[in-house]
Amino acid sequence: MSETTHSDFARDARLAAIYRASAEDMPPPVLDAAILAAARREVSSRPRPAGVSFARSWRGALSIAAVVVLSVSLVTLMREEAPEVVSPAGEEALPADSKLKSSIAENNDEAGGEPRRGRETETPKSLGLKPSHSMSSSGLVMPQPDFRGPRVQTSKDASVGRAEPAARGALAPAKRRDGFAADVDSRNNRAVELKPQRPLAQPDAPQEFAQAPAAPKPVELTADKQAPTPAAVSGIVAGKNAPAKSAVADTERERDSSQSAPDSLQGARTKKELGNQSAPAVTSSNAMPTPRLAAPSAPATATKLDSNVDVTPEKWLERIEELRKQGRLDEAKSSLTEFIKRYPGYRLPDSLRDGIK
Amino acid sequence: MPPNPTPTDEDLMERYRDGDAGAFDVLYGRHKGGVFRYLARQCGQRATAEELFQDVWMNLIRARTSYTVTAKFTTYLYRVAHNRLIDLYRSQAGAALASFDDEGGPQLDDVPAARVDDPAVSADVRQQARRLLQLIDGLPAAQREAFLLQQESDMSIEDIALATGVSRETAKSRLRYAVAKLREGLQHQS
Repeated sequence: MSETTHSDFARDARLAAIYRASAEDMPPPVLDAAILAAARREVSSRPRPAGVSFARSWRGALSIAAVVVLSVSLVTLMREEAPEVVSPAGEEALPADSKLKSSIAENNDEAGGEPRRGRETETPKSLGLKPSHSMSSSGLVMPQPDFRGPRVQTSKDASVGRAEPAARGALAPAKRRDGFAADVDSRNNRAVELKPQRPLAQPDAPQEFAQAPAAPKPVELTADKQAPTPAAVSGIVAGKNAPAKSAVADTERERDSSQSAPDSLQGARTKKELGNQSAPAVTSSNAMPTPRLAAPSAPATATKLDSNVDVTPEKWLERIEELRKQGRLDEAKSSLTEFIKRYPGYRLPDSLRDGIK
Repeated sequence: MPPNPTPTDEDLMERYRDGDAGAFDVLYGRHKGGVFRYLARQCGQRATAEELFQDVWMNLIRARTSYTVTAKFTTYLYRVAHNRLIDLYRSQAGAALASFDDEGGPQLDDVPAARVDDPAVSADVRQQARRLLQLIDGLPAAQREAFLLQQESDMSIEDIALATGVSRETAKSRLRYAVAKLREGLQHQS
């Protein structure tokens, strides 16, 4: 027997009709009123199941908002923990990197002889104690007080502070003289060291030295293109006022500097040869033949390592590679050692690893 | 497509759940008679049926916020009524429960008979209808319940099974027995 037959059998039309005739019993009106009143009271006391309806109506919007918030939080977290991954060229995230790029751009501009007075005036105090060759890439490092080497210039000699702006101007041409290769070469070594002390130098700089970049004389540049600074610095240290120079003269000097870029390497070697000279002697003695007799490697190395700390591991390795290619293995090794300490798990390039070994 | 002018029971209950008291009025008007008769003929006493009737609807009102459409509203409503009847049987005596619990065993014939002489019940009843009511009252409670659910709420066998908490085959069997007995009783009378 089919299901339909069962249903037809169960639904007897005659029975249904007879039953409907008898189905007139209804609840009393009083009961109806009581129940309906209770239903209305229930609605008025709890008008709407807010939680359920809210969740139903805003489910989609809440989901989207949650996804957006989660995404933004994730990106923010990643940017904080690994800025080089999120924004490799970001100014805020990687100041050192951006400075490197700006330094490269500046060197490229220098080839066209464009003067850059603004950067010259920002040269820090210790500039006078560093070889001019090292100034080329001073924008690579962030200040790191922990690694800052002993200050060569002492505050007891007021002339030191005054000498700085002049020294800046004197050394700036040499800095610009460096080509890009020299810039990269000396990035970790010397020029980087200048940045940390910039804030210290600026407050001390008197107004009369505002035009310090004009201090070096063209004659000095002619005599020694590598080091336009010696006479200027020594003269300033001796209390001589650096003669004010026009912007035109400064531009000419910069051109001379940019043309003598190869000499900057020699200047770097000269620095090593003369590196035993102490910094105080430089700042306090008129007999100092040249301001390149800078406080040598100890503070420089410290600041160099410090400078590497602030750059990305890739940039750091690039610098080490540059040092290695230039045959400066000792510096490359020390820098690599510092790198390994800083980034123990970082995979080193095979070329660099083998080359250093 | 024009909107459906007659909302379903489920729509009305959802509207009441969401705060529309008027939806409950419509819903109550649709089912108050069927539920009341179902209870009255199951318990056999009008006063008790009224009490149960009020309990059923109050339970529905209190549970409105948690209502979700998982089955037909009538199935939900008569399931509540069925549970109230079970509670009543348990409070009175355990004998009446036998017809609900025993699937194939002896069926009870001592379920309290409907008070046909009740003025509220018998006032407008015709002769044949009166006889039918007598026959219904004489049915075992489980079979009577299946028949009443079918007649009052137009439930299918599946819905009856859901409302009474038994299998489909059991519900169908009960219904078949009930209809057969009523037919036989009416034919015997004629």
